[in-house]
Amino acid sequence: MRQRTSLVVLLTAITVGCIHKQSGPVSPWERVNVNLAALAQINDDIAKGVIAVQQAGTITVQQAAPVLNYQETVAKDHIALENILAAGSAQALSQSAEIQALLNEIKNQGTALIQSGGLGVKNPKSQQMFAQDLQGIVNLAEVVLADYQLAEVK
Amino acid sequence: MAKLETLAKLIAEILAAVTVAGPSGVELFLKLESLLNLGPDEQANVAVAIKAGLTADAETIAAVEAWKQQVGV
Repeated sequence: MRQRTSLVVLLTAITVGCIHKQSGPVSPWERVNVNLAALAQINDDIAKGVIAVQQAGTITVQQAAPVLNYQETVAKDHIALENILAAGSAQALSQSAEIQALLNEIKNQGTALIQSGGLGVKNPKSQQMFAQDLQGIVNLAEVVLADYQLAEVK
Repeated sequence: MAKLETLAKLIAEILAAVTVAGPSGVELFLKLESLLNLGPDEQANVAVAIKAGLTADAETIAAVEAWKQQVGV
């Protein structure tokens, strides 16, 4: 699991920096959508990792529940975001407040969960590990928020 | 030259991480790798990204809901 975390942190760094396009520059709109999709995929991978760790008996149900509840919230917020984005950039830009509110919810709830220390993981190293996992999601939400604001300006 | 060294270091770190991450870590790596390489058409790229994101969301929600049912929370 520790190795998985290292990979997730590394992948987050790669995701933020390295979107490649066959021809022409990557548009802000493409950046928003690709980084959002990466956020969803990393969120899915972490959720499955937490479930695996709980089922292996490393953490209890009570310890896993708040993390998994957050990850389900991220997935549902992400669906709401995609429903807006799927209508196209013009429509999305008219729903700026809602998009930013959803991204802020992902960011703020993740930050609160990390800061609460309420992950309930007995092993301090494991607690740091889940905090790092969640920090990756928070970081990507911040990146998407910045991408979105850039797309709004252009 | 410095750029090459940085790239070589990054590749070494990626390979090390992938080596120890196991099949699911590699699967995620490949998914993201595919996501990050865009074709020439913006609309198609956006559509692919949205579909990939929604697929991941559905899997997350299904996995968490199944876990909740299993453990009774």
